[in-house]
Amino acid sequence: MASPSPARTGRPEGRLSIFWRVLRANPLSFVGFVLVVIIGVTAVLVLVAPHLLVPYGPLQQSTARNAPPSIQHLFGTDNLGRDIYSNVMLALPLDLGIGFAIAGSALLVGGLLGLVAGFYNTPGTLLGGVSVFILRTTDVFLSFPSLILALALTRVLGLGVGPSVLAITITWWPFYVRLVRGEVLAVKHLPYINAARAAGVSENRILLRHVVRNVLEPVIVYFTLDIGTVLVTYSTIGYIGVASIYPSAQPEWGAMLAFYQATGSANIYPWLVLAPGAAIFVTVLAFSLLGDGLRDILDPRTRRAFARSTATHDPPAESPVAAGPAVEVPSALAEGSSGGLEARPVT
Amino acid sequence: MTDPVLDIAHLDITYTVGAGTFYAVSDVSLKVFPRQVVGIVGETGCGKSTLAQAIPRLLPEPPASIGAGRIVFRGTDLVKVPKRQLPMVRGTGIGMIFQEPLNSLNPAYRVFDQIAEAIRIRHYRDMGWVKTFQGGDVPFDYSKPAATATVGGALVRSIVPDGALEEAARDRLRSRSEFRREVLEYLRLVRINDPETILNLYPHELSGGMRQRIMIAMALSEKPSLLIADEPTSALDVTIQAQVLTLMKELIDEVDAAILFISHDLGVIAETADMIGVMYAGRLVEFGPVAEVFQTPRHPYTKALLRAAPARYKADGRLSTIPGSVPNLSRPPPGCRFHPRCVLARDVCRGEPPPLAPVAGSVEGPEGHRSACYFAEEVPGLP
Repeated sequence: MASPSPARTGRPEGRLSIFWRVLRANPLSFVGFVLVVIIGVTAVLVLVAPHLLVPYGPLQQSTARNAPPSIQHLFGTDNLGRDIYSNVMLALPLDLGIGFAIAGSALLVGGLLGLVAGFYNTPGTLLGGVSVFILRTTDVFLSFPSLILALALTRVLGLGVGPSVLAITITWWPFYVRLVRGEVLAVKHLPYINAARAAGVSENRILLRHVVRNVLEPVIVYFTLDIGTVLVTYSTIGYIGVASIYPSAQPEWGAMLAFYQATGSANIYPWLVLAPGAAIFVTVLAFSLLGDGLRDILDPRTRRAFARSTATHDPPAESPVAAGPAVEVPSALAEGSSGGLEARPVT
Repeated sequence: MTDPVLDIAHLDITYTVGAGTFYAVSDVSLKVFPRQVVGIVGETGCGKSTLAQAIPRLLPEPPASIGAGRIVFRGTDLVKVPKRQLPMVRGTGIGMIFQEPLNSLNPAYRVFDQIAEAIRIRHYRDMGWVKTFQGGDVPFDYSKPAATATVGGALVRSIVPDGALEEAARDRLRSRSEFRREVLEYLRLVRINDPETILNLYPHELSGGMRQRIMIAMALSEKPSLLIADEPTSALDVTIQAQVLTLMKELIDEVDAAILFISHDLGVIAETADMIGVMYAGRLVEFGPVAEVFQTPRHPYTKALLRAAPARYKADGRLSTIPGSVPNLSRPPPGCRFHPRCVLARDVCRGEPPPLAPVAGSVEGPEGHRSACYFAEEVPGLP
């Protein structure tokens, strides 16, 4: 086999390029992806170089009171002349961070517990006992209405961002345990797990390599969708007024909504609540749309199908790899190349 | 006579589901010798797949449990091997091909990764990363790291030539291209013409026949001394079945492995196997050389089974059937489990179950023809 063509060696296509292809094939998740990128970049900019995007301080007052949206004040001002746009922007990194922190730690804790509870659920063993314990604990948490529990915990843990993040996380992880455990249970009885076992792969490696990889897709999709849900929940708690204080040096969307609602100004000057409300809406929407597309990217079946369907529209010069035989004609080749055994009679 | 690769003796396997106990395999004894192909036939639910999966201890325990008997593989009783050491046994010498090629490959990995994993296991084993099961009754300690800086390591270094250990260490970190060469080698072995392309495909992009070839390549890449094929062709359509079967028959000569071939298809067994074992309701009722068993079955069930095969369909007549139905294995009939459906059944058949005894006129020893019937001599010849 003298120097095979590049299309036939190694990995036929980079992950990034596949990612790009699937995104282009899915307009909605493409929109979600672009939005998430914009939101992310904006959040970083607000943190790193606030003067670029945030014209006024969060508490800085101006003579323009209750001013409607204008060039000076993009989202208008409130009754003390505080700039709504600046406050919404300043809240972005915090709210995004909260979303990732809560969903991320819930994923980490719940995911690990779910893996254990799903994979080592043999009754009568030590780990089997552990998995029963995990599940019953999960049940206890799930039997509470999570929002009420989070509220109660916030009251116990104290006012502020940190305690309320902790409170929501405490109510959040059981969902991941259930999700991951269910997926693990579905995967672990599939024949390929037993086939790996038969090949001599150890149990732990089966869990880490074979089970986790096949559980990953639904979990990551759920995770991205969940960031939106977390934001809404946090904003709800903020709205009730136990999470963050507004007005303050560090604004937060939910707290803004709550404040203007409570003071009654929202009834007369709707931009006061429209701006933070829209910020929540767009962020949640962006992650939900991206989550849908991620499913296609992570699943080799749909991923390859997308890659192939778009590859046929590509000029070969642009992506020689995808247009090459490695991707184009696999099934035909596969059937045709079965060793010339077809013609042989079986006696 | 050489030692058997696999020596199963008086094996009992039960499933406990709820309050019920199912006697899936009862008192099965079987020997497989090097390079021999042993076929096991029987109806659905007769315990043949349970038997196949019990050998590498793949049955979920519970609900399954191995009650009595031994499964001696190359001198090691697998029944006694502790659970956490089972991967070593499986990776060392027992390869397995499964019924469902469509689901037996991990959908998330390319063909290369699937076969490379099996090869990697073998290499780690060869390199001493993963200790192999050496056999014998003494379980070895695989938790100890590879001995290099120890007294043992010093001893080894004093014996092996200079540079050999370093070479071995380099070999441990085999490059992707080396793995690739070896994966390609096995893909060619299973007669895949364009392995470079197949290498990069995902399982869902392959046909059933191709997937089964990949499975066979995976099983063979571990260089097993025993290959268990659990109905490898059942899920495939007839033409692909024939291809895979032809491949398996060719591989039997090329691969230095004994094969235990499980099937419900008499034709498949007739084509591939040297010895045939017939199972009924969890028991091995007849065992012998294929030609002999097919020509002169010495158990009423084997005979009825052969008669019922459509190959013997006569233009004017109806297909022959066996009256009655397969017994419920939670309450198997006493004595010979076939007696309620047997034309030769007498009182003695309801007592002690008949042992698997050599039939008259057969050669002695493991190559002999044995039948678990009190009236083996009376089984009428095939029409």
